Amino acid sequence: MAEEVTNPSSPSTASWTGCFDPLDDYLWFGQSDCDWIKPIQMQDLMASGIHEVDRYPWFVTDLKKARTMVQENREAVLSIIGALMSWRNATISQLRAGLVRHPVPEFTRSSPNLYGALSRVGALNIGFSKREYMAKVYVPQIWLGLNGIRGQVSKVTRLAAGFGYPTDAIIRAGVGIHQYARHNTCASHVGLAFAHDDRVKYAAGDGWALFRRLDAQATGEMGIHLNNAPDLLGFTNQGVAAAIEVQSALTDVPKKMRAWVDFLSHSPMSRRGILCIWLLIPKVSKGKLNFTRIFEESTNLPGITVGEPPVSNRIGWANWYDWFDQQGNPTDRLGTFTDLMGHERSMFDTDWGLLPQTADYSELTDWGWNLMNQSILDVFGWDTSTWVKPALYRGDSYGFIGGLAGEGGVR
Amino acid sequence: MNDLNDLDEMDTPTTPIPDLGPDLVVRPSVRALQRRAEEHRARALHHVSELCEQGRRDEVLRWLIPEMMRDPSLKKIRLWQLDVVMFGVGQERAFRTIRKAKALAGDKSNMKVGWANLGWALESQQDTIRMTSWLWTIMLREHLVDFRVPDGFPYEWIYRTPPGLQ
Repeated sequence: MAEEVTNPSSPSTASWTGCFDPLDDYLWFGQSDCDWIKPIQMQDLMASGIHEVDRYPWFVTDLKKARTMVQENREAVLSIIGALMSWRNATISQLRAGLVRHPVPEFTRSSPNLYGALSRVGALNIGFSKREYMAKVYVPQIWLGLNGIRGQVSKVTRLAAGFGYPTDAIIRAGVGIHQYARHNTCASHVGLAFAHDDRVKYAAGDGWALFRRLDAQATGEMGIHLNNAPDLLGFTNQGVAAAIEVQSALTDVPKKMRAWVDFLSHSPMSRRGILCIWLLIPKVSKGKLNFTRIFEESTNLPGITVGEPPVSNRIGWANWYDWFDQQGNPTDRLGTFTDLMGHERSMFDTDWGLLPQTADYSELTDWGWNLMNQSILDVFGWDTSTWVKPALYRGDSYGFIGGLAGEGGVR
Repeated sequence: MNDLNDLDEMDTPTTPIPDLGPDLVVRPSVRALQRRAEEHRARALHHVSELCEQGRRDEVLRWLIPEMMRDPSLKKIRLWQLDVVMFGVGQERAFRTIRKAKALAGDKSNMKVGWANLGWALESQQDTIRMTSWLWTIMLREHLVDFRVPDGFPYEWIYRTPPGLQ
């Protein structure tokens, strides 16, 4: 199994509209985060005088107008919030390239826009490259993140969708987490690459990747309450669930590695098909990171030989520029990695042994309409499966993306 | 619904007059036809009310929609009237529900909420969104349904099939 790396013979990797290199120095200006403009800061500015807010022409100062804009674009608003619950931070171009299911507008710098309205009502933090402030230039990428203040985002989903819309429980899991934009932009980029690859069924971000969600039986057997989650998941057609840890620093890596070995030793490949791939991205400062020692030491951890294939074959590492070229386009080596025993493998290999069968993407998306049909049948006794139903209640996939191969853009 | 059949016997719409030839018939006046349609609708609503009183609300649409196909006069049953007989709400609350349903369906028609009827809600295949939105809004209002992400979403969906059966 070890030597048979099934590199893609057919060109199944595809780029997409608006693809960019998320590690481009121009974007980051030597930092790993962007300048976040938070709703509370804009409220302070408005309190200090309207002229201060005039410097942000994209911002909607009139609350009534902002609320109207949100209500008029409710499907776009709910899609954006749903996607950010999963992916945490992403650029608007990444959202438009497929992270959201509903088309979303572009960011207009000189006139009030939907993102300005969402900032006014307290839903979104909007991020600009630090280069914009220092060099007084416009950088094409603009970042979005959910407002971390508890309850603010729920209020906006209620405003957009009306009563009874099910986002509260999911949002609660995500608030208060500060993630660095560079790290999350890379994770979203890998997610997009997976979603545009026809060997992958669907991909999901950090918000859906908690160990206890992914394999509750394994965490139950481990007997500890872990809040660990990889940065994204990619589910291949064969049934492999590749958990990707995007890593640019050595902080907490030994601790996370111990948790992974423990988790995988309790989660056999046949149940969830989980692999763990550490995707190493260069540091902002260009310094070298020495992961080798950590990976070598991990081979001595208890549980590393458990299972078939053993855990040591299911954990590995890859370099960012193996998977992507300098322009951010995925290469033929997307999905390949070196396992802890030093063997070259790929998440797309066909010889991972017994793997679980996974559902198609369409089965994840229409749960709302199915619920609607069943409820109307139960209450009023009429089968409405052939009737048209409101798009708002279709049932969002909340950041599960898939089936974009060949479409190359917003759908 | 024997009452509807009784009505046919009571007020026959076309009565031939033999003296003037077999082709000539006496047609009832427009007013009589209107009165007859109104009576049909009243009886249909009464039947719906009886079904709901007997706890058989799940038979309402199963009876009403085929009946409407048979007797087009029932298409003019107004949605607020149905809501009132099915759930015993006030007229204002029923109007508000239709207003919400129209917004949910993104309906741009000029139909006033008080005039919205079954025929309008089921006018064409595309227009069935009006009916589903209205029924759904009623169910949310009456707490008959809880729209939330299903338990175990999404992993119970993803791994529904036992491993090894592919």
